[in-house]
Amino acid sequence: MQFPSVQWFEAVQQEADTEADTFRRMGFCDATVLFESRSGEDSRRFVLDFEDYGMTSVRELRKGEADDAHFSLAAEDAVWREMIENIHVNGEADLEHTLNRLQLPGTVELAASDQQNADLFYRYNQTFQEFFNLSCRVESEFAGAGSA
Amino acid sequence: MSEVSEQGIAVPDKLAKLARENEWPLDKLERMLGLFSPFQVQILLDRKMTADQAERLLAGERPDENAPLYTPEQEEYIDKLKAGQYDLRWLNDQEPTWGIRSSLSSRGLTLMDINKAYAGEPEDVAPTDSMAPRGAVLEEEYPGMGYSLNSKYQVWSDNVVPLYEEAVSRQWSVTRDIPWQDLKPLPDDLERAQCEFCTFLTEVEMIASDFPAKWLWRMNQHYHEVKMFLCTQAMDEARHLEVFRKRALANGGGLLHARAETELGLANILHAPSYIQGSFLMHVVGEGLVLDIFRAGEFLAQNKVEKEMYRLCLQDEARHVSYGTMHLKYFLENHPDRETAERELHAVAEIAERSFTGFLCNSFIIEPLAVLAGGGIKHIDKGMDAVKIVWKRITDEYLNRCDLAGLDRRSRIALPAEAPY
Ligand SMILES: [Fe+2]
Ligand SMILES: [Fe+2]
Repeated sequence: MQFPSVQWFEAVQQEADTEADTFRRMGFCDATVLFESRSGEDSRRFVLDFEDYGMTSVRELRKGEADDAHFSLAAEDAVWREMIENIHVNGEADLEHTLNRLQLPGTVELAASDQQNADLFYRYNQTFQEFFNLSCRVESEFAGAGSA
Repeated sequence: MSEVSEQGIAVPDKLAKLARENEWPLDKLERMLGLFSPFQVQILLDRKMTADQAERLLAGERPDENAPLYTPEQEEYIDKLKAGQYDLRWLNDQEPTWGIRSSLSSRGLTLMDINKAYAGEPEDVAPTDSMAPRGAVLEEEYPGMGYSLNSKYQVWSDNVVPLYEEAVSRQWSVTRDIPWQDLKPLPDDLERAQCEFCTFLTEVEMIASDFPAKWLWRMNQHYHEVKMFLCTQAMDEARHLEVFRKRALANGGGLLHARAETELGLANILHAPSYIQGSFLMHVVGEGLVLDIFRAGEFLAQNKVEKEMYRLCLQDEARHVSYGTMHLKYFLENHPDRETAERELHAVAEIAERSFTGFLCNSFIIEPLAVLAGGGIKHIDKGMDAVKIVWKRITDEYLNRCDLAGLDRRSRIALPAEAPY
């Protein structure tokens, strides 16, 4: 499955559905997240709605289309690819590839209209991490060659 | 109302009247008030306890067997029950609003759901000094809880109701949810760095239980959601103490050095002269800093145990910061004299920004961080780069939160944007 794509995020949520108890135990997560993958001047942007215990919808934005996300996580294609491949190899992100680990030094950029919205990334961090960890069960293909 | 007697004991008017009706001499009442609260004494006077019976209590003896157990009203009610008569006022009461049926949301029945259905928005000034539930009808005469925070702006934040729900929903267990079995021995320098860091965190965590607990009973029950949220915070901090203490003692290290400077920072919060000062110092400044320290802890984790414990803690911490930031905003926006309030908070911020350095220039905090970041004492220089990033994140986010709350520290912050080392 192509990463990133609407189908890819939906496939991860399908895996999350099979782990409903884990997500319920982690608790409510109410946030709209803009996921951005950059390649030079180009970028692909996806809006992920998290509500209650998981992602309830995802859509890709057109070029220049405004978003209504609380915060965005943006990185180069290669950064996301390395993270997804790492998760695939280890069954979860290893110590060097968690979302917070990548974001703190700015490898993944966190941006929001205000700090309250940015803080949602911290408040629901475990849910987001667990969500991406489950991509280890999704066959991922990347633009150019290769798959994980 | 109360008057102060010759012995300097405040005698509430209502109690003085009850004492006269029960033929207690004034000095007896005063001696009782020297030992018991006015409410304890009222329980006895309501039951028509005699002065002699009270004297036995003062002497530490049991009152005689004739000492009354029931109030006259209760005696009367018991007689009626014996005769098969029920009161049933509660059943026929015309006063309460009746017929409320809250709808459910997808996740169950939330406080937001019931607030939408009834008595949702608390008033700007609490209508009573009681614990009577918002929405209930309170009898005219009641003892009064003696709250001092009776205005909404003194405690409220617009996100506190969903934050309470979130807090309850996202609780976790240190014993169950941390994969302790994965803990492996570390080289001494790394274990010592983690343990020093955990000693510091074990020391500071429960200030954020003690401070809210100190103010909790003073907050009018009309704003019960704030009190409920602060109870979740007190629990969160107990769990944080637990996790860092356990980590320090779990892997061949131990609890290490605690600094007087840290204690000063904690006393600064606990003894803040008002709730808003303390809340700003703790929720916005202190916990904002600790949130980034947790993020650094996750970043520097040497194993899955540390990864999980810092990640779970940072989620909790972000809720506390969120309440504090939005409370500051609500406080400023609704304060009857915003200019004065802002001036006071700027002065508090001047002190608070200087107390940041107690952490950011504390060798027992930043050097362990640098050792963990560098991967050992040999690479402490390299590790200091991570400390500099943390400094920047802390000051950036602090300024962002002040901006959001409407307290402009950006133009006058005492702390430099970049670490001075
Ligand atoms: Fe904490
Ligand atoms: Fe906290």
